[in-house]
Amino acid sequence: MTPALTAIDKALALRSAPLFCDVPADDLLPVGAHSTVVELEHGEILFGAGELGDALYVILDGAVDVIAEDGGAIARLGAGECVGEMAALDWEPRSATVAGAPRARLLRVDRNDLFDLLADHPALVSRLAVVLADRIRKAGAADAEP
Amino acid sequence: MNRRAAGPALAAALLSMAAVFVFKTYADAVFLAEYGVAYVPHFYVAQAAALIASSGAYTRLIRRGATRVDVPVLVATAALGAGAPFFEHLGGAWVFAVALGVLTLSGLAQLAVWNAATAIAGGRSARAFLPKVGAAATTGAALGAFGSTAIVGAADLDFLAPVGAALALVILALRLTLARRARPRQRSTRRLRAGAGARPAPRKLVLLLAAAAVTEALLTQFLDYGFKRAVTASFSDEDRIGLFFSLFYGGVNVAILGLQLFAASRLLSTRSLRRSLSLEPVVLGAMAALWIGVPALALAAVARGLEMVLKFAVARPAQEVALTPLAEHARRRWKVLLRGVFNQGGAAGAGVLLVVLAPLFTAHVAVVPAVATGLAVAWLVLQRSAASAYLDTLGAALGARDLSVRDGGEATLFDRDGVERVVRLAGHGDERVAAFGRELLRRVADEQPRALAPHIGGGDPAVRRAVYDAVAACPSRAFGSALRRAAGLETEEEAFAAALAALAAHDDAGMVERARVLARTGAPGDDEPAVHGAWLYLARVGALDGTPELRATATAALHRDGLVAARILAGAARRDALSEDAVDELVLAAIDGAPAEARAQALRAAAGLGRSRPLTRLLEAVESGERWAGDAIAQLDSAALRRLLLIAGARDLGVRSRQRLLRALRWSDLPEAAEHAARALSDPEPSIRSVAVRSLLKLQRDAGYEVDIDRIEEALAAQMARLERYVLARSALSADLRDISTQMRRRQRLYGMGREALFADELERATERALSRLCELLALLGNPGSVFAAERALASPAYQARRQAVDVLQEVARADQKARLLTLLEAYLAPPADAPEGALDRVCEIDPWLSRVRGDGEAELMRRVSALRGSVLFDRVAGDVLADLAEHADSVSQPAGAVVVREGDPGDALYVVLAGAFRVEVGDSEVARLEPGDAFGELSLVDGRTRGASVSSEAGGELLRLPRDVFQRALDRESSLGLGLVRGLVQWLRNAA
Repeated sequence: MTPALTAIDKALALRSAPLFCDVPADDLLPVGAHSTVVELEHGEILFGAGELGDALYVILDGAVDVIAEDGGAIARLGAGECVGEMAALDWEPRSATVAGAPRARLLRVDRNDLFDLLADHPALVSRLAVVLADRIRKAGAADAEP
Repeated sequence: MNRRAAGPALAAALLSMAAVFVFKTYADAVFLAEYGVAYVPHFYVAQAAALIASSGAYTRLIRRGATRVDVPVLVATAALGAGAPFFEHLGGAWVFAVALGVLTLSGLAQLAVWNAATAIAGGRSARAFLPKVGAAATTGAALGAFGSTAIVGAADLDFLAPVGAALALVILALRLTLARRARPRQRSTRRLRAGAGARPAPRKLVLLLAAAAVTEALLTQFLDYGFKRAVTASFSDEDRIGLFFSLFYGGVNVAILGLQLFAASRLLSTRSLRRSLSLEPVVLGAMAALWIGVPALALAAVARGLEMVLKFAVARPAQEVALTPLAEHARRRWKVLLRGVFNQGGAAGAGVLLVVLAPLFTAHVAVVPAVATGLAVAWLVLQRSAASAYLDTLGAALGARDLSVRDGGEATLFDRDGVERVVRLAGHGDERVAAFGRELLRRVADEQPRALAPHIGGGDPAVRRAVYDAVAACPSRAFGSALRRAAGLETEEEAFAAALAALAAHDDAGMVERARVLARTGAPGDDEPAVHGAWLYLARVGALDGTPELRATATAALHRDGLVAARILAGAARRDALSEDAVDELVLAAIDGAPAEARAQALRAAAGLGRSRPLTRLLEAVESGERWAGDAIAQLDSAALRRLLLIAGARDLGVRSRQRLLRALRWSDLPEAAEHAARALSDPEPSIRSVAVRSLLKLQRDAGYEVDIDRIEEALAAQMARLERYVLARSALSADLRDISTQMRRRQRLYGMGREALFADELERATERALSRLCELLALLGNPGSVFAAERALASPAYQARRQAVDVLQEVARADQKARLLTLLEAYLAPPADAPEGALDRVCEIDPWLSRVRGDGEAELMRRVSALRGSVLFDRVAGDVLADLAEHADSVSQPAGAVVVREGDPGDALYVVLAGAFRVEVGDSEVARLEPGDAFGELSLVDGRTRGASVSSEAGGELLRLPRDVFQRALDRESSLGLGLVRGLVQWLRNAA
């Protein structure tokens, strides 16, 4: 059995995610304290496409598969990466299913905490915007964006 | 709701209840006259068994889809009623059987009729219709009971049964009419059932309700037994018992009717479910406790009467509401299970208990009421848990999980191992991790000084320095001796400087000699940290009184560390070593001459001293949006903060400044800051109120701050009044315009549709925002998870989700505001056709932006706004913020063939086509054509990457150009722009997937 994580570990883990690396510890600690650890077995589903998004997840260890609606894997994400930030940000249903591959531990950050962070840190907003723009480019949604 | 069926439904409910009470009077009287109270418990068991069996059969038939189960039941009731007097005269076990038969059959018939009657109204109309059915039933009960009084008085008890039989036949006729009229409704019910069947009934909620039903029945039977024992002790003749019961039942039902007519609808729709469910257990518990002391027939009758009154007037309707989160089919089934099986199971249990423990109960008069009191308490607990489960279920149905976000994570933040780990982290090889560790150390020093004290002076120099810094930042008596010992042994220079600072923070003057020797090797502000540290130490412990060196040291500190400077200045002022003017002079000199960072430090230092002039400077910094000002405010102490708020109050700050001040205060944990946020709930500016609510939600969750309920309710009332104006204004738009507004959302192009369309769209967005703010306020009342899920569900295309959302929001609201909220939300979901006169003017009064859009002026600005709305980036940005951006954009004319952007150029702006057509080319091939309203270069605006394609004008045209630096500046200034941007990008990514 893995020992329970303290708020310190959680805040440290959040810090390791590119999204949060510039946020001061004092702001991350409460978020860390309120975040919860989710453990996924192999193939266990974290959330399914269509569920309402209420949180963002940071992968602590292990890996997860992002699965498209037709069942094909879109991507495999590993430690330090974020999952589910899109649905958490825009109140809309999850766009893809995420499952453990083979198993993973994730940190769950509630969307209200996330919004507080964003509201107080314009730099975080800019960083997030760039991350999203990058994804849009990679998804080919902006083919030949002038 | 089916209005044509309402009349027969009400009549059937009335008559079926009349029949029940006619039979009840008859059965109770013949039974008690024949056997006395000794066999009452046996009767409970038999009656419960009969009811369980019959309702079990009833449920099974309903699950198979049977819709007319009640017809054979009514026929059987009529037959048994007609034959009852004959069987009764046979005596012996026949009386038992007859009493059991008429009670069971009439009860079952009543349940079936009630179900058929209530099924014609669903959802919100049920809230209005159910009390009417309830009132009709009670009227029937009173009529039945008093009718029985008349019959027994004028003739004989035996006439009651045939009268009941005749009633059953009339009900049968009504029921058949009802079935004919309700037919269209039943088809839709079946369709609903197929869709709703996928979701299982929420386990926790129904289990709690079932347990509550069992407990309730136990309590009822104990009260009934006690009551009947008191009755048989006073009367023995069959007719007199019949008269007593009929009068008792009549009286009780008149009371129920009164409650239903004058109070129940209020109890139902204006109180929280928690309260409605708790009322009966509380009242009965109190009555039973009283009855222990005063064992009289009158008191027993009142307790028994109250039980019936409250059950039908409050507890049953509340149970009905508690079941609403279930799918319609499951709801019907569970209603029958609760009342027919669990309730009866409890009754049978009570009967068995009474039979088995008969000696105990007959020995002491007080035992029965004492047990009843205990049962009432248990019931209360179950009811309250059920009410919580109800809210959770409503929220869960809307996709909210983990409704209670509070957890005890912070309590065990730093245990002993934790502190040790934090200390080690501070010396970590990776500078980022080490920085994190240092920040944490400060927290440990502040919250658990005792745990940190043993670590002072241990580890490598970096760790020692970090610990000294933390100790200096958060002085505590717990550090005293350990700190002095460690400082005396310190050999490393920087660590020694840090140790001196820590000693100074503790006013420990034990190192003056050693510091003086070190200080003489350089001047204040020396590059050597140890030398500078020595000067600071001497200044802080008062070893430099009145010398020019004190000024030099303070000035040096002002440029490096504001807090230390503040302490030096404060100490000097206290000892009269520096006059207040000298302090101001020093600070102002530092402000004028220092770089930005040091200016912030200096201001913070002065603000820490509570000097008004520097505080005013701090406010100015807040107003001009300088980032450090927020941090400075968060570090003020109580006195300084109070003074700052006083100055702010007198200065009449602008909206943006008030907003910034409020945001800065969010990070202060002083009560003054929370109070300020609570006061801001009544700020005239909606965006300020919104920031205040978010602050309070955070404070409530993280710091357990209790917001004054009156304040919230006042703010809610104001926000509802606001939302009402928006909602009514929406209904004043033509249906076409309303549709355009929703269509625009999908097609993303508003440009060129005219001013009216822009207004319609902006009104829609503003309404959504007003609703969102209302929800934030509601979240302050509790259950934020459910409230936000409901807000989200209000925009859902599914009717069921919207309806549940309304239920949740209504449930969270308090008392008198419930009804108003309901009306408002309904008008939002389905705008009424007849808008009141001047609705549009009234909304423009409270919304300056809408008023600008509705006017004729600013044509060019409005054109730009509608152009920018064409980009998904700005879809979630408020109109006035967008107008601000539009003002800073340029419109550029392009001659035919002109190249606007070239592939490979740095991306420095976003463009929207205002007129003409443009070609998008990659290499030599055309990949797209852009028309008025189309935007390009959006991603470049965000990340500044090089252009992936070229754009050139076809035959000349006009473009709106929003430069990247203008946008980035706006982003820093206006946080709502950033949030809107992020959500817009997410939407884009999602549309692409």
